[in-house]
Amino acid sequence: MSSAYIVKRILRGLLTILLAVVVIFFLMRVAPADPAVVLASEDATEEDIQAIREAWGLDKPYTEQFLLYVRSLITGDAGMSYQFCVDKPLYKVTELVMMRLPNTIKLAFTSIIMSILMAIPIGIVCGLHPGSWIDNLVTSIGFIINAFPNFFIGMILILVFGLKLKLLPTGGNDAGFASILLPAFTLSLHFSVTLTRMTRTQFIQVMRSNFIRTTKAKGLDRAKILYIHGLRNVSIPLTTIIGLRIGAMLGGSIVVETLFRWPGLGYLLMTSVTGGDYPTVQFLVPYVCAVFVVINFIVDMLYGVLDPRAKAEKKA
Amino acid sequence: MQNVLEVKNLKTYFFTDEGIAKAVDDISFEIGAGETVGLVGESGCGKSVTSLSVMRLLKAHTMEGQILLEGKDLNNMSERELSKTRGKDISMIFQDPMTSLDPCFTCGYQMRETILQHHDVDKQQADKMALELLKSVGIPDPKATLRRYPHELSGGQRQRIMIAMAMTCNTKLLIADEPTTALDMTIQAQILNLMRDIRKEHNTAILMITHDLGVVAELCDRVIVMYCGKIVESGTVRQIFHSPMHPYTRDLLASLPSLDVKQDRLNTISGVVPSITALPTGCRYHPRCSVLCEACSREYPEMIEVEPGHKVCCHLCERKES
Repeated sequence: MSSAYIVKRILRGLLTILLAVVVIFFLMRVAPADPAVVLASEDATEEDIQAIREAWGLDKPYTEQFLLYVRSLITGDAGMSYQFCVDKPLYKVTELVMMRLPNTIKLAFTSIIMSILMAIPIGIVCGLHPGSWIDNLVTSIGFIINAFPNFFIGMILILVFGLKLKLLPTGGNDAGFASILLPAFTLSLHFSVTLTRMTRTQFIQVMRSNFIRTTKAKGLDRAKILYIHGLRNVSIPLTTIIGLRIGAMLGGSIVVETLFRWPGLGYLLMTSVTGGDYPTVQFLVPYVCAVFVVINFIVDMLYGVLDPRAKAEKKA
Repeated sequence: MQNVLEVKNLKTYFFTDEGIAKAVDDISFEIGAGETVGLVGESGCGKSVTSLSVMRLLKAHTMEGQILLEGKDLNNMSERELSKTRGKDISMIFQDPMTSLDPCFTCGYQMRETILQHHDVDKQQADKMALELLKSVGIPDPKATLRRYPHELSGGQRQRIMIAMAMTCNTKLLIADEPTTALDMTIQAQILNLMRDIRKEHNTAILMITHDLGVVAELCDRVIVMYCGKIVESGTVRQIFHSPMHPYTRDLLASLPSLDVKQDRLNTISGVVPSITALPTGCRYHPRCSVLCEACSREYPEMIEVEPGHKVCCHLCERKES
């Protein structure tokens, strides 16, 4: 791993985040929700709203607002959130994010572990017997799952397990581990389909490769061929997509978190956008973007560890 | 001489959309202990399928016949018995050393796991054996090589590792499927020399699959010529090179460039190899053959022994009465 490579990656990552910062700043200001109107009470006069604008600095020109915003990102002090307050702000944005982040992380990892536990064994079975009835069945089920959007799957699960069977809570985060099961499962399904397909194709490809033929020719046990040489080679591409998935999930899932009222970042982002909470949105989006950049970087590093060839390429 | 390998009526068929591909169609041959036999023919004649069939490394739709390795039929063995035999009594090295080693593991690991599979030793002893094996195949700096990954080695070195791995158990039969095709000329010669040394030292029988007649002349005792899934002629190197009987063998030899005669163009065999799913009737070579007779397109000729050890499959050849 050359230092020039790392510097290049860091610069590229910073550029990506900068772009996100610019885009989200202007998008928020084009959006119809006017924070001053949202913050003001129902019977507020035009003067009241103007007063709120001045108090929050929303009357300043965009260039000045933008510079203030960039400064707040650099200092890490994103200011106060507009949410949950009328007269006097209650939470700093950073406090709010720190309260919600653990929930999002919990949800992300639970759902990814669920996906891995489901997808990799199924993918291996399908990859070992391509075209068999079980392979066809799994493929068909995958198509059906992919045809349903997450919010729909989530609602069905709430109906069945929450309302009919009364086995699991329908939402919130009050019932301990039980409350994470439904949202995590909902989130894991689509990724399980992707991961199963990926495992299957990779396994088929690896099992056809010349080096697997060599392991057979030298008389290795089938178990060793499958679980040492097969799995190790399949793990390289799988690491990439699992890593990227973790990145995507650490930003929080807006749809599923909102549906299950799961107090994570996705739910927070949702309420912030609808409530015109500029400081929170403007902090969350670059954060999500940074998580992506960092995870991407980590995945590439991991790739180098898993695949000796990649290490060599980057050295050269 | 006792035979290490006897292949009897081997048939390997694949069912494809175009019809049944008779990749190997009823062939029989044997290899004596310590003997080096060359299996030659054009691309697609079934030589690689033959070697993979003998190793039982193919998923064919039909695999009939007997593959007797020292009397034990490989074609009747369970997967478990097979993995005990492979790598121990019969080994194989492949055409493409670049992709034949697992890229994710060091050479040392791959050597060690082979040794542990067949020998009752611990890891330290296995590593010691691996080191000795690498020395014996002429790898420079064997200790460092054990820690290297396959991509850090050249093609020739990888092929040496493959050979070392194939020789972990003093195998009785080594199948070499075009082991030098992917290597450049000087490395080719080195690998051939290595195989010659191995044969001398361990009395290993070698089945050499190749389309390179030069390799055959240099290394082999006997030659088997295949065409379209059938054996058309077999005999000692001397018999095949000096008195080839089958028209295909003659054409094949005539297509070799000669240093003695000045040629403007190289000789080629006219026509193309027929598709394996649409083989001609009668003798499979007759559409390209220059010395046809009336029976050639009608029926497949029988294998006859024209002189001791020299068999040929052609209507125009007659048994030499002795």
